[in-house]
Amino acid sequence: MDMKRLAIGTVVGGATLFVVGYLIFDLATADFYVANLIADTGAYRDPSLQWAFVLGDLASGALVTLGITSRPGTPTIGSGLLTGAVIGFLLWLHADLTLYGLTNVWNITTPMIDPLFEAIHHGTAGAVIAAVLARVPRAATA
Amino acid sequence: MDSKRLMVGTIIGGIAYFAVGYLIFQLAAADFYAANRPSGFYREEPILWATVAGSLGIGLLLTLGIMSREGALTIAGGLVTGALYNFLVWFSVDFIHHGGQEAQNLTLAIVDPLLEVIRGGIVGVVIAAILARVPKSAGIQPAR
Repeated sequence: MDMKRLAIGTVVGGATLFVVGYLIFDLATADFYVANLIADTGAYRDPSLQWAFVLGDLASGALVTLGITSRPGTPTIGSGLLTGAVIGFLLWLHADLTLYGLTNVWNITTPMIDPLFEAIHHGTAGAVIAAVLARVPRAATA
Repeated sequence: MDSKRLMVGTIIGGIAYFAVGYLIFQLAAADFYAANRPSGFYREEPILWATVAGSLGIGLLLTLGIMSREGALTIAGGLVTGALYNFLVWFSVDFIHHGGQEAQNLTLAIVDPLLEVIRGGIVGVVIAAILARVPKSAGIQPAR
């Protein structure tokens, strides 16, 4: 595993996920998420904890980078977009359905729609990670 | 992509994920989770179909991760990939939920991904062991 490329991809991916996540989830679709809360649980923090989002986005960035770097050949923007979208969709399909099954925070609409938004979210990050990694030379192996 | 191996890995991985999750989270660590879940946010009875469907989603993700590793498929490779992927999945989900929701306290966000390492590792081993017994489908053969 090339640690330098993994570190660069993680940081670039984490930063992209944070910015794009703000645009998608805090601006464009915020009303959707509030409308699909189960009433009276008071589940959402106000204000939210940005440091926790940063840590979560760095972990997602590492996951997308692992997916991109494990594919053969030089990463392309198209392959990065596809890899990121698949990972983001499956990651959040799993998490949303699990949390829907365990908690009474959301109605069923959220776990059906959220993974699609996450595919866009992580697909964008995957494209950016691939564009950056294509410019980072691979470490020489022994 | 070998669809047959992908499907086998997803189903076997999803079943293993659900079963190991039951052993870890419903039996071994149930008291820890009960103590760290704020009241009012959790269902009395989980919705089983949703957790099963969620397990199939992660089964597919782990299978994709294991199949895309370079070199031969090994138990150790499955263990590392499953543990690493599942840790990163739940570290991300737990901290993002901790940041956005009152339903997730910080202790849970820190400890849960560590327990998920165990679950992911076991499931990765199961997927790798099964895929090692599923023959690869023949690809396009080069012309002689």
